[in-house]
Order: sequence, then C-alpha cells, then structure tokens
Amino acid sequence: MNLIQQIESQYMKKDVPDIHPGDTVKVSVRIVEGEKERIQVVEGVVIRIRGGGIRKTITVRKVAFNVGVERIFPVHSPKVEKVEIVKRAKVRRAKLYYLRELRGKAARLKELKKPTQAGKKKRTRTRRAKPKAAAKA
Amino acid sequence: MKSILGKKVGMTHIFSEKGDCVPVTVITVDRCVPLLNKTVEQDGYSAVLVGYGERKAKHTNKPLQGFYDKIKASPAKILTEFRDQQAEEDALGKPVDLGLFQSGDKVSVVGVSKGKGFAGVVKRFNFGGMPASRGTHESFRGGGSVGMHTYPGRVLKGKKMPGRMGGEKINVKNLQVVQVDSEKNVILLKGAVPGARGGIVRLTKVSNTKD
Repeated sequence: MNLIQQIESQYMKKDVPDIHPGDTVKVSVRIVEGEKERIQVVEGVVIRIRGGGIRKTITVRKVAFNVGVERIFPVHSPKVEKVEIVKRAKVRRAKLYYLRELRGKAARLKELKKPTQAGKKKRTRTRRAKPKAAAKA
Repeated sequence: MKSILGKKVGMTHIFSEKGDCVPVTVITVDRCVPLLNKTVEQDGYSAVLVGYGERKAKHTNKPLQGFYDKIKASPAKILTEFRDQQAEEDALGKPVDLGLFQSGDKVSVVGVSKGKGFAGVVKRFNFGGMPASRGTHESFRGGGSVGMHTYPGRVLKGKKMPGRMGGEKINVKNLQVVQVDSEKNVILLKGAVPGARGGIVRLTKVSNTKD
C-alpha cells in the first residue's frame, strides 16, 4: 500500500457495498437546510463508476417526471449516508451511457438472478478455468 | 527555523468533518537537518545550512566527506541554505520535527515546476491564437504581429514570444496545512504544489502577524 492509499484509507468508509454498473441503488444523502438536517433518498441505476479509492464516484440515473436526472455521488463522502443495492442487472459494458437515449420499456435492464452471489464474487474479465483442470484440483 | 524540505508524493482528496471535499497534496519529509548557521559577521549573510536525505558513502567524494566530518554529521543528499533564518544552537545536527507545522497554519511552498519544453505563445502566455476560419491560413496558434513600423523599427524588449516554459522556481503562497502526521512524516497541504511527483519542495511557515 503506498502512502497516498494509506492516507486515503483513514478517511474511507469500510461499509461501502460492492457496486457495479447496472445496479439499481438507493442512495441516502444528507441535506442541510439552514439548521435542519434531513436525509433524501435517490433511487436509480448506476450508469458510471469513476475513480478509485477515496475518489470513487458513482453516477446514478433516474427518470423523474419524464426528465432524466443524473447525480454524481462520491461514495466515501460523509454526506452520502449509505448506499443500498436494490437489484443487479446483467450489463455488458462499464459505462451505460446508451441508457440516456432510451425511454420507457427500452431502458430496462435484464435483472441478474442471483444478486447475493454476484455480490460476493468479483466479476472479472478472465476466462473461466477449464472444467478438467478444475476437476483435478 | 521556519522552513523544511520535503518531497511531493502526489495529490488526492479527503473529506472534512462537514463532508466537504478538500483537495490535498501529500508531502513526505525525510531527514531534514540543520547543519550550520551562517552569520553576518563570519559569512557576510545570515542563513542556515540544511541537509536533506541520506547520501551513500560511495556517492560522497573525499572533499565532501571532509566537510561532513568537520561538522560531525552524516552526508546528506541535498545541501541547501535557508536565507535569513537561524537554527538554535542545540537544534543543529538533529532532524527537524514536523511539529513546526500545525493543521490550520499557512505555508508557502517553493518548488521547480514541470518543464514544458519549447512552448508557443498560446500555451506559454495564454494568447488567444487566430480565428479558426475566415481566411486564416497556416497560423492558427501564432502570436500575430510583434511590432509596429519604421518607428520604432525594432521589436520592443520583453515581447512575449515562444520559448522555454516551465522548469523554473515557483513560489506558491498561503497554502493551508490540513493535516500533520509526525509518525509517518507526512504533511497534507490544501491545493496544488509546483513540480512533478517526487520533486523536492521547500515549505516555509507564513507568520500570521507581520514582523
């Protein structure tokens, strides 16, 4: 771990879930209005993950009153109270910008059946090991 | 002593208690030792000679080793002077403590900026360049005319023209110290610091009161 990562780790949250593009998330945001503080929940699809470490941000897109709204959240910010994954979807690219051009039924994503397992396994681009080799092991 | 040498590690950001994102530059301080006081009486000017880092024996030639033997110190990688500063007598030969800086302090940082090579006027002096259309040909990023006519018949001195850019000493004033970690020898400064990663920078504490 290099020095910058060490410093970042002091300020990072430990309980951030494993978020992937295509996930539908509920983001609870702290909003300060004057002296009052309240929590607003934004629900939408993660169309982009950017940056690493403490600089990681997610872009959450939702369609509100027929207007597409995208908000960018730094996931480690204290203003982001929590991020909750509602469901996961099967997507084939890292940035889901194509959703911006789609409306209504076309903008749906195919849901991933086993959300728990997908959460545990880290999705990688490596090929699966051959079944024979797996049997030997 | 109100200055210290350090190395720029890189930038990141942290979050303040309010939740605001604070951009910070990470600076590590290796062994930074005041070695010698130079005085007006002896040397004609006042300064403190400071060594930074460790120098291997195989890189220390005999005259240099002789100098270090004389002042009874181990060879340093970099020798530099902080003008118009004096170290206390018992502080000589001991590494400077980072406690010199506290979070909230203002410091000015001197470093050597990244070299940009031979740069044109658009990059170097923020000239506007030429229109992209309407008859412009072969001079989209040129500086335009450099002078007048028979009078004065020459180009004025100091005319901004293309040339070497960067790689010069830059002083950035009043950067805020965000965090000081004496164990790891790390200082976090708010904002950017001149130079590339790995560059040596000098931090000087800015006094709040005018002397």
